[in-house]
Amino acid sequence: MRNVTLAVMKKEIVRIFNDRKLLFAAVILPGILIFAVMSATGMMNEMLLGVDEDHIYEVHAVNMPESIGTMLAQDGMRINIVPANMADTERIREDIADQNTDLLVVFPADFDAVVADFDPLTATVLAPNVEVWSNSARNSSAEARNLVMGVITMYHHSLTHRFSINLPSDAAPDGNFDLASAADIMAMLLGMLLPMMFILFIFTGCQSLVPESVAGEKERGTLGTLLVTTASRQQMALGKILGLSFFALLGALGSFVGLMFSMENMVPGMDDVMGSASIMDIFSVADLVIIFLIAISLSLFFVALLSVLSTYSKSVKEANAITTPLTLFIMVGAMGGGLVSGFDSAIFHMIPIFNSSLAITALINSEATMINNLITIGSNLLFAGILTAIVAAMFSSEKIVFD
Amino acid sequence: MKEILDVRGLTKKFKLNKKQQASKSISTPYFKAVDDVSFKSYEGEVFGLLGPNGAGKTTTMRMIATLINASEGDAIVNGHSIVKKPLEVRRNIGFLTNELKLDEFFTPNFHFDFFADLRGIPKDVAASRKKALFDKFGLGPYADVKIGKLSQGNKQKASLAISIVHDPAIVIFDEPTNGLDVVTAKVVMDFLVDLKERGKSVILSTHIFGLLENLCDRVGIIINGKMVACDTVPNLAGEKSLEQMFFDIYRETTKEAV
Repeated sequence: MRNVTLAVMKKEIVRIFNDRKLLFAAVILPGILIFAVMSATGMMNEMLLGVDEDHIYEVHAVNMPESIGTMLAQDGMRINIVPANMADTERIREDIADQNTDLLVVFPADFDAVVADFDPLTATVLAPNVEVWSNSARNSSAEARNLVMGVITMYHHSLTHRFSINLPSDAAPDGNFDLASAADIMAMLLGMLLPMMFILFIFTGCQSLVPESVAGEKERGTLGTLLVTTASRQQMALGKILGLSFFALLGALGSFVGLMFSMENMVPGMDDVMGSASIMDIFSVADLVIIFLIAISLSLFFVALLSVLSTYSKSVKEANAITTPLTLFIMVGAMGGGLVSGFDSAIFHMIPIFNSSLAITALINSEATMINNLITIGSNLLFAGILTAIVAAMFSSEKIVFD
Repeated sequence: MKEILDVRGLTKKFKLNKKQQASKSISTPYFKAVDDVSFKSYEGEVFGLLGPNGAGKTTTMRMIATLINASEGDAIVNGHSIVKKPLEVRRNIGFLTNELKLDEFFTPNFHFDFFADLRGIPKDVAASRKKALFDKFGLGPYADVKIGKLSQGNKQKASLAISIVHDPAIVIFDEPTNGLDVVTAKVVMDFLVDLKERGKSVILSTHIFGLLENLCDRVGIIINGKMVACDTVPNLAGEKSLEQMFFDIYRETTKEAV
């Protein structure tokens, strides 16, 4: 019995190794695509939201007081203050609207003196007003607004200064009061992405292999050639699912490596935040073993699930049409574990896909329990076994195989 | 001659939904693709099945090969019932259609070894059979070339060799020469003669009257799922050609002008 399973498994493995296009599409391409897409996303984010490092913000100022002007002129602010008159404001606003310049700040005349004389308790008129005109559709304008508003707000607070917050001290000589380690920040970022990406990569790897191998075999008629032999349907189904899972796992591994390499590119500035943190700061070797076991069980589950759908289909095209909408359901389950909380009961670890998302999230957050991990792996294997039995039964159905 | 195959009242009913019933103008909720077909075949004999498309030839062959279940009746293959001992039947049957059904990414060598593994044939036995068959078909130089890169003739030779990897007592060929060029068709015909000479029982389904006249010891004619005639070619055709006899029977049975 074991020989037949091994023979079919070997056939699947050799078949994919011999089909270079399929091998490339299922095993190598996902990792490359992940790296390319994630890096491109990061670059686009930077292009859309970021400002050229050499850009000098052009800030037109009417009645710029010396106090604020000095603060804005500091090194590193990269602000060029262009003095303006009230008569110019309409033209400058038009220039800002047309995205030709960055910012217009209008202070009341003699701002420092007026502010110093103003007493909110006795005043009968409104407090002096500062107008800051910007264009949020222009990145440099929005950034210039943030810088100028920051300085004005600081000046505003200094007028009523009663206490300070987070001044550098012996405990925090660099003024950094955030106790998150680089690894914590990496874990937070991974916690949002990793479970979903991990599950989706495995699924898409399976999706590129199974319809071609199962429905394709049916379409080409080679399944009938297999079924006329003395080998049992169960052995054939198991051999096929094991062989395909091997490649699905390789594909998932490639995607995972691609994701890891693209992390820095994905979030601009992430390397500054994370410093020298690496994945080994978050996961222990035991954690990685658990993740690997989850990946194996999940690959088997997905391959078995897709095999059922592909066996039911008459052609590769039909199989792809049936399995594609499934991606949405997989995505919901894959995201679920990272979004919900309080789902640490064993029962939730019996639900395929969602359980894997929960388990990986728990590993990232150091909240995983061995029992839940084992239930997750066991449940995936159990469902994979049930689905394999269904595939075997379908192989025995003349209506499904020969219709 | 030893009886290898005894087909006893094989019947196959396919369920129909209401739409299919209406389109086929059938009052019953099923369609009889094969209706009470019986025949025998013996070792060293080629038995031909003749009939128009959809007559039930392929369904009959698939039932004998245990690829599909019989609704009624039975067939005894080398002493084993297709209903009670399907695995034993598969051990005794080789089945081949005109379409090659071999994965193009594998070599003849790999395919042969794979099917030998599936059938549980010891490695040394499989190796000697492979050598004998590959030598016979001249496949040696192509043994490690992928099926997809072989000529049509060599592909067919490879599939013929692989279909008898387990040295079956009976070999079923469903339209084995359909769509083949004359050179490849000759390879198949020579193979059938060789099987016959080696004492195998061959069941052959084809539309080619010449093939039936030249190769078959006996011919069964199936029309609308029923075996309407079964005998040797001379007894069936008499003074007529097999083709003329077939169309006479077809007209008589279906009342259709041909």
